[in-house]
Amino acid sequence: MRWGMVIDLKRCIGCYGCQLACKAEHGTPPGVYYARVLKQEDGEYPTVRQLSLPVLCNHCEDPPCVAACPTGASFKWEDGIVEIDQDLCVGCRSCMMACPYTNRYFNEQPQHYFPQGATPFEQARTERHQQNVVMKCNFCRDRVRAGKPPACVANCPTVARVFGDLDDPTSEVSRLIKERAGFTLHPELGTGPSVYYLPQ
Amino acid sequence: MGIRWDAVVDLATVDIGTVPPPTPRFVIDQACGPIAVDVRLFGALASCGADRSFRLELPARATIADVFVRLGERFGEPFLALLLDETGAKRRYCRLFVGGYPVEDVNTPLSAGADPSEIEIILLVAPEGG
Amino acid sequence: MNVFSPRQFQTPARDDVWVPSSCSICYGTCSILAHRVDGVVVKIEGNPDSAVGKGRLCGKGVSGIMTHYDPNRLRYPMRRTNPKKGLYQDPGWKRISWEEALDEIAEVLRKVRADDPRKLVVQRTTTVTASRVPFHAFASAFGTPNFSVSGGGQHCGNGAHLISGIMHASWSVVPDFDYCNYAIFFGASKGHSAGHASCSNMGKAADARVRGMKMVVVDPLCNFAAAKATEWVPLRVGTDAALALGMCNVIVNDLGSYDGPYLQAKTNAPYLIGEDKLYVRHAESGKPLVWDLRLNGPRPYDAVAAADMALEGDFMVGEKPCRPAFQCLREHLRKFTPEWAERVSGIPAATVRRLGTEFATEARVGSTIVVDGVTLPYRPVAAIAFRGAQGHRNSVYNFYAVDLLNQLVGAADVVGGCLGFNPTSHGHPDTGRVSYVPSAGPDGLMVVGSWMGYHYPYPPPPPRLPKNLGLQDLFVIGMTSPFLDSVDSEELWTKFEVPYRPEVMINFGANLVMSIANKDAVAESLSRYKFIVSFDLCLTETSNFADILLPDCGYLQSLDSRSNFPFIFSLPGGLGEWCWPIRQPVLPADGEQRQFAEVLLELADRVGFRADLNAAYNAWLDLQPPYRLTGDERYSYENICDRELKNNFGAERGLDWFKSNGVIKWKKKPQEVYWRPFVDVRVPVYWEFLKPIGDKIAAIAAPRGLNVPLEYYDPLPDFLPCRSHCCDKPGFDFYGFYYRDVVHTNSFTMENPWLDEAAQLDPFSYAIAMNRAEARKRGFSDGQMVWVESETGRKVKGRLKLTEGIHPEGLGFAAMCGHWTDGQPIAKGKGVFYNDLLELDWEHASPVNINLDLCVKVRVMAAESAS
Repeated sequence: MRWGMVIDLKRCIGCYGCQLACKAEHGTPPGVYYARVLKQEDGEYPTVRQLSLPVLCNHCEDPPCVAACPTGASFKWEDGIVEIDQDLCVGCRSCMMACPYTNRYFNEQPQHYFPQGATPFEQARTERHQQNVVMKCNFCRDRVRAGKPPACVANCPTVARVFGDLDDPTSEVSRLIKERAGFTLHPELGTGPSVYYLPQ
Repeated sequence: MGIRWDAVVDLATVDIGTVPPPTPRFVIDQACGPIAVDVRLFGALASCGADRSFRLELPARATIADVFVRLGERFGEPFLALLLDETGAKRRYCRLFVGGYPVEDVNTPLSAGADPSEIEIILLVAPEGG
Repeated sequence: MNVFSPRQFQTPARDDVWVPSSCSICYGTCSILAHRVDGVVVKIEGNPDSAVGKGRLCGKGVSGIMTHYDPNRLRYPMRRTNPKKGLYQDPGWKRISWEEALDEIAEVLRKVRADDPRKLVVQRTTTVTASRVPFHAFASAFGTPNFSVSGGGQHCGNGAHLISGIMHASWSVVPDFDYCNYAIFFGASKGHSAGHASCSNMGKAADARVRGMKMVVVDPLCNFAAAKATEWVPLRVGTDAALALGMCNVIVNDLGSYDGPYLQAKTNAPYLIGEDKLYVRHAESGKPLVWDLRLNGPRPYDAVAAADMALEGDFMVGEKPCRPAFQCLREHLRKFTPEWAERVSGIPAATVRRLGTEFATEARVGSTIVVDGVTLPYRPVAAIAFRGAQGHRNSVYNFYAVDLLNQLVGAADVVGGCLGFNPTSHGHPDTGRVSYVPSAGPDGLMVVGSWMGYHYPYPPPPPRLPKNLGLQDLFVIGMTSPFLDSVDSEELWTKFEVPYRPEVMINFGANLVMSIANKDAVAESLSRYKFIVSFDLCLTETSNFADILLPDCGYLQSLDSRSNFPFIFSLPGGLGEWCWPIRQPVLPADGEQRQFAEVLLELADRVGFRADLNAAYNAWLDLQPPYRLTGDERYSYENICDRELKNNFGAERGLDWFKSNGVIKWKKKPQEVYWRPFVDVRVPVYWEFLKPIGDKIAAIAAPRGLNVPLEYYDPLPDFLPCRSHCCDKPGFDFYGFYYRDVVHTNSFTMENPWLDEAAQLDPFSYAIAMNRAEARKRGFSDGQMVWVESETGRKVKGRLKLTEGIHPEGLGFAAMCGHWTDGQPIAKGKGVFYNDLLELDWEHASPVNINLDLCVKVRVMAAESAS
């Protein structure tokens, strides 16, 4: 069992639904986006394409962040999800330096978006997170254990994101990777990402 | 080569579904005797000097068109022009209800029942966009 | 400092519910499930039960939480104490009670109604679709025809909805994503951005993309749809008609691969046209004549088999020489050569030729397909347009020319073709409601079965000396009017002897100071009102002009029985399910916020026209016995909603049923989706009706000193240049334009901090896009602050984003940003206020559909320093 995700770049239109559904699910504070959408332009006028590239923690098979963590706060579950135990994190940020994908965030900013202070939503959700620790995507592990897909996957209006067991050759993720030549980001780094992309 | 666009669908073999008719669902009793209608005007029609509510006595076999004629007599041609276009058809945004049911065709006959039919008229003006 | 405390919403037992409702961050109105835990909404997701969104939401929809919980929301009614009104005047807001507010408003309304009810202008934002019926009902009951949907309607309605209505009996058009093989988008991003049926269309468009549908996107900017396009075709801003007409010419005159039978049977192509450009009519019946090839003589159009109607030739009817409309069109199209199209639009002639050929070939004229057991015409091509192509002075012809492509190959409302959004419905199987179908109107041309109001796009009423402030009863092809606020409105009202002036405005949520055109013009118009009451969520730039502000409930606090009706507006088109969702409150009102629909009812009670309002609701909602409202009984809005639902879906399915179930749905039939072969109507490929309308308008306008250029009223489309195309001031070498951003809605969402954060991360959302090579020529660099100045001297400042993905002459601005109000601290200072470059007058509006010309010729200069 290895949880993984497939993101179909042909389907994705860069609506920020994933980035914001994630923010709503986890109540991340300003400046922290477990899921982000990067935009990139290719080509020269008039032969141009705009690429929307949703990124998130790759939950690597061989995660350098886990190796770098001095306290064991960053760890990998048996099902493949890489998570941070906020109680054990001392905020040294070694993991952030180790992660080549810059998908970790340090929670040091004010915990609210409006100048007047925290909204009831932020009190209910954002204030659950500890300050001065590192935060990142955990594949919505609570949702997954309850039988639901991660929030970003469930929400995507173009149905660009699929979640499943990479170890099962019959799962939809495995099938898509095979049929559509799925690739990971920077495979040369050797971390073994669990997030695959289908070409646009 | 190919099939004519208008020859593809054979309407005889396809269930095209039904669209309920817009006519009011009251029994039309065309027996003799005068027909009484209570007319109620709303909105802009009521605020331009016309009475809001009044009764009309119409002959047997009267239609909605006859009601309009009487409105014109009572309130003048400019008033009638709010309701009818130059061809004498009811303006689409002039909504008319008989006994609570919408009526579009001015030739619709009125029913001569025990109680006067209630006719409501209101103008739903204003273009829309967005 | 915490502004709110969850303790305010304390509930006795543990509260953990998912409430089905409807989004209102854009007018797409996707269905949602709002998760409330212990009185706090902690998540908004799509509702998988609903066809609207299919359980998914865009970035805006999931962010609704932060719009709701914005501490800058108005919570109490307020009254201005500073009588002076101006853009930067501090109104001196003082909190008042609802009693005081309603008393004063009712007093003002009572006086206006007794004096002349037309002096009331009612205005609403398009974003809250649920506001349509309550405000229309209020205006109808009050007795005023003066209604506006502000910028949202002004910028997109008059073209897109007009042509979609006349040609497809709907509010908008989409490719049949399920079956289309070749779609060409002109200034549209359906399925790739926000708007009508947005999230559902995003899924369908993605399926089409993976299936291999080729998508050609014609747009000065490569984003949204163009970003995913198989081929991006950049063009000079506002020249879409040139490409479309060039393609039509290729199809008709070079290839001859048009669908003759479709044109014979379903359009006015065979109608005989005289030298006066009008139909030649049957003497007795007045019906347009066609030439019967079998009898070799003229006969009324409805007396001849389609296959016998001539499409070409020169004929005589009595003494009158005439030819079929198609013959006129064919000859007319000859001058639109690909070379001509290249000169106008910048698109290479070879591309014009190729696109025309591809479109005609992929159309597979003559072919059929079986869908759900029904054999139907198969034309898997679609040409669509939306906000971009029609946002110009030549709005009508741009969009008409694009749809002509569909009409020429018969790809209209059949499988794979260009579909209206739900022009036909047979209603729910149990009740037959709400059902509607297009019908044949004057001269056999199509009249819509369903519309957003009662002024249908066809047939347009005869023009008259106007009595409406927007002059739409003179310019009868138009819908939303710029003349309510234009700098020449007084001049026009005087010219046309309009016997009254606007005095009072009720504004619902619109921020017209930003959304229509330059702020000074609108500010001047607003400051002339004697009294303005505005329902708002937060203070806006327009609130500055209000006398009384009323704190609105947001969508999470509101009830509405028809969030997605009419079906032509925001229910997904194409195969799938019919679906009727509602909106219901998830959270209570905060402070003294009230739902606008309730406030309107109370005002009607206080002013004394409740009976009229009840009658208006009956008429707008088509309530039938036993659900009709009677007399002047004081029904609550909740009661009215319950009645509407039962009226449509039966006694067992009132509000309670919908509150638990969220939506009702039933399967669409192919005959509903692909309705055109089943309904005996024709559409105009020759807009004959336009010419007499133009002549009548000119007859009224010319003696009063307004010159109406009649080339805009010719029955056949042409390329007519915008003001920007005619500007040859040295140095003014860019065409400025704005475009709708997926992450923002009008000027509304910049205040939402999650959306603002995403926009700040986006390379384009708050920037001005300029072609990189053009920038380099002028010494501009990426991220540089610049001034952009219009040919009339209006200036805005912004940050450049250099890109390969824009036409060299284009300068693209995202959304309607650039707020300056302190009432929206998140929005303040973000992005560029493009609309400030726009003139607001007759000269810059379309003389036929009164759309504003939204492109501007500008020059760009370096700004001194970054702000």
